[in-house]
Amino acid sequence: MMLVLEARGLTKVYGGRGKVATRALNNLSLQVHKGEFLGIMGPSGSGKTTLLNLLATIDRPTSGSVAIEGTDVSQLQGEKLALFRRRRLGFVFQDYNLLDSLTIGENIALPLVLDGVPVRVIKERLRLLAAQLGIGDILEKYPYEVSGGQQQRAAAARAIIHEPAVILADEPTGNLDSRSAKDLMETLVMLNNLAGVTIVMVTHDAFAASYCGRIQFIRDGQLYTEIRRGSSREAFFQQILDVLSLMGGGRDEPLANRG
Amino acid sequence: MSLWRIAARNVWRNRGRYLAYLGSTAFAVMIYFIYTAMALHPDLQGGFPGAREVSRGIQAASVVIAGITFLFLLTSNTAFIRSRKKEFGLWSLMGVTRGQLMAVVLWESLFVAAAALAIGLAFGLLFLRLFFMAISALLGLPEALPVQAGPAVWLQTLAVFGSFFLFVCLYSLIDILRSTVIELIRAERKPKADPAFRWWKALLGLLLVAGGYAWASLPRPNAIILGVIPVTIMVSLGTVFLMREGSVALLNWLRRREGFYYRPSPLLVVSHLRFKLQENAKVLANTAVAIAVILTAVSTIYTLLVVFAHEALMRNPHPFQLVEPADSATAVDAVEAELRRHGLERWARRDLVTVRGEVDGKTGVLLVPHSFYAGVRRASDLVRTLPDGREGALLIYPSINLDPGWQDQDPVPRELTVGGRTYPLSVLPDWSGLPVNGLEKARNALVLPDALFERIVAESAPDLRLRVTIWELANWRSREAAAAAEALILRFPGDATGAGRLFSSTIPQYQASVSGWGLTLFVGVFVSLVFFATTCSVLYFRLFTEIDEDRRYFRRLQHLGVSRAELRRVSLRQTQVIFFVPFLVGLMHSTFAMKALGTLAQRSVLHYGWTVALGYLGLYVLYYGVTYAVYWRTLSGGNTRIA
Repeated sequence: MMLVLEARGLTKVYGGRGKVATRALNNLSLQVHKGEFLGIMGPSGSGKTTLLNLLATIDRPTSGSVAIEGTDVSQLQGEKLALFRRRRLGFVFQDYNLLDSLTIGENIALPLVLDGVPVRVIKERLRLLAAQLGIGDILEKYPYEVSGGQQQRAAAARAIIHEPAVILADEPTGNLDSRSAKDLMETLVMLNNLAGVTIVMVTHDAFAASYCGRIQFIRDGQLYTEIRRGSSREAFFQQILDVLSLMGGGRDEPLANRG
Repeated sequence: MSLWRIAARNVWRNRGRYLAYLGSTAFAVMIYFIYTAMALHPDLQGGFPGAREVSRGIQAASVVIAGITFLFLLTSNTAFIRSRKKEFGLWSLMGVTRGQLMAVVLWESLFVAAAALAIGLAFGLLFLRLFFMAISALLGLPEALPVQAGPAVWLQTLAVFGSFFLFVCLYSLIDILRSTVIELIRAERKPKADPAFRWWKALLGLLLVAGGYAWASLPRPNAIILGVIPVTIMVSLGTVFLMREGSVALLNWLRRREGFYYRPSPLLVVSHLRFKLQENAKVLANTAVAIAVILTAVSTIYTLLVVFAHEALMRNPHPFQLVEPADSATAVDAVEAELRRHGLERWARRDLVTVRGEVDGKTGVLLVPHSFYAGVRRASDLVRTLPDGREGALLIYPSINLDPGWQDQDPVPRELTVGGRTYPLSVLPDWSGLPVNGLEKARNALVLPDALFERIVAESAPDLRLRVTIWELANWRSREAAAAAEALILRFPGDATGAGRLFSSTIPQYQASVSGWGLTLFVGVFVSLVFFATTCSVLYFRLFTEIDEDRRYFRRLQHLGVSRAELRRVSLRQTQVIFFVPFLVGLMHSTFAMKALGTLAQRSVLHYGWTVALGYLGLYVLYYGVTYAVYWRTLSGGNTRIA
């Protein structure tokens, strides 16, 4: 299987220079293959978000490297890095990150517009994708006019429209009610299955995580364990809960258990 | 931590926002202080002729400055407080009492007011001498007014601006205290409606502006004078409508042109401008009107200075002219001795022996041959040929004709009487400036064909003939020339019958006009600069009240892989539109106003308008540059810089 994303020996130290240094990640390595749906879980402060920021190239590791489709992104700078992020990565954020000044349709089309794709192609792809995700009727609306679930599906559409190497999702269900969360997860699974999109999702929602194919658990900036999904999602969900209680994350942080 | 410390920290944290506010208020305080010092100056309470008028004029200017500043403080403070409603709401939520909230707001206002007053007064004191020197030079005072700013000046400045700050602060406090906590917290999240185009408003705006322009372009001076106020109202109102509907229409149109719109910069700039259009349009229209007012006012004063100086030259074109009876001994040598005594040399002398006459028995004229008229220096370069050959004449009046078509008139048969003899003439009226300085009994000049002129002079009685001597001098605007003219006027005053020697000069009138209007221009320019600074600061505010929102917007774009260079391009475009569209609209309004002024002044004065506009454009670009630099630094800086 083809390797899409590879992180080697990632270490991230915050602070320093007089302040108390915090080691958010400690020599963590990770591999993601093409078409995988990987979940990353862990209690608060375990370094999930730091890891995702490093994979997303919006932060730099203290040591270690991240390679996406064979390109070492830690070597990229400024304009090149922005271009790489724009072309090869797709993002889904907890707070949707849609631009208020653009309609839903324009928001989804943004990555293509930024890349100078002709209008005809943009329109065509937008139509197909929106129909696939069931948001074809809200393309002319503005983000504040639609529900959170719809906004997040629009964000997912935006993340996928330019066919990136990998979609990085940061707590995508964090702001959604259980019904919308379920819809979104099903959408992501559909994209993963039908289009073969590679997804890396950080979450501490066990229910959302149960849609993944593989989950890596992180604690104190290091890999704790890894589990793979069998045939049943329900069994996988139970498995996740077991690992979480074993990790002891539940004591500090009530893990969302919606389902 | 005490409340005033919190307030001090708030001011420091919001220093980017306070910068323009502080700067323009301090500038207003400075100019107000200096003007008050001049208006209350003991030497301007009647030390020399016209001193009281100067003092009163400056006082009026300081009142205008105070008024502008008050409006500015009121609008900007209200906007500022509104942008912080959420913050106040959170404080209330955390249990900060209303009294404590009031105390913090009062402390904050106190800090800013104290800073503005301190900076303004310090710079006022620094520049006081410079202003006094400038005013003295403009008034042509022999020595500069002594620098003086008594307690009354300080008290007045402090009282006026202190009460402004207090009033404005209390006014905005009422706004905060009236709102409930939930209103305060929600204030920022009000959804913004998609801007809709209302064609009837656009049409109304278009009609108002076009109507105003058409009125201002009418060729009749009377219509222009009648139109000053209605046209101003029409164009201002029309601008408000047209700028909103125009920008809605334009942005919607751009959005529909998909080939253009679906590209990085247009998509982001157009959508962002559309999104903020509701708030922008009003500010932009107000700015456009303010800029039109500033440009027009300053250009008008500048034009009047030129026009009135020119008018002085139309009546009396020459710096030194002696008229004496031709049969008496000449005093030419005495005049030249006086000129030399003042260090004046290298003049060109022109002599003419002529007679006075009357046209149709009522219009007193001095006869001038055409060759003399064509060769002598006059207010205008226009040299007209005589109509109808041998008996054609030009009757030159010493004033301005407001009818633009005066050059197209046909000659009229009239009679010239000189010492009992009458001559039939075909006379063309003219208003392009006398060839000789006007005389008491001959305020007009009659230009005749050389042959006819010589015949009339030869036929006249010798005791009627006058010898006119003119000295033309390149440096007649100098101080020496003015002194010589003054001395000569005293020496040859002429007498009531017009028989004695009469010396006349354009210098006193010309200089009175130049120094009077020059002073007005000087005082007015600083009033306009206060207006200008406050107007620009409102735009600055426009950018900074929503900077948190903008920062979020730019962060999001950066996450999506928009590079800093692209973000910079987008933010440049946006801010340029916000700054330069109002300037262009204001310039257009002002151009039509100058066109109307040109109709009144009988000449094109557009280039004066352009000159003034160019100066203000320079300042405007400078202001934009500084604003953008601060804006970009605030926007791109901060704690979560992206790699």
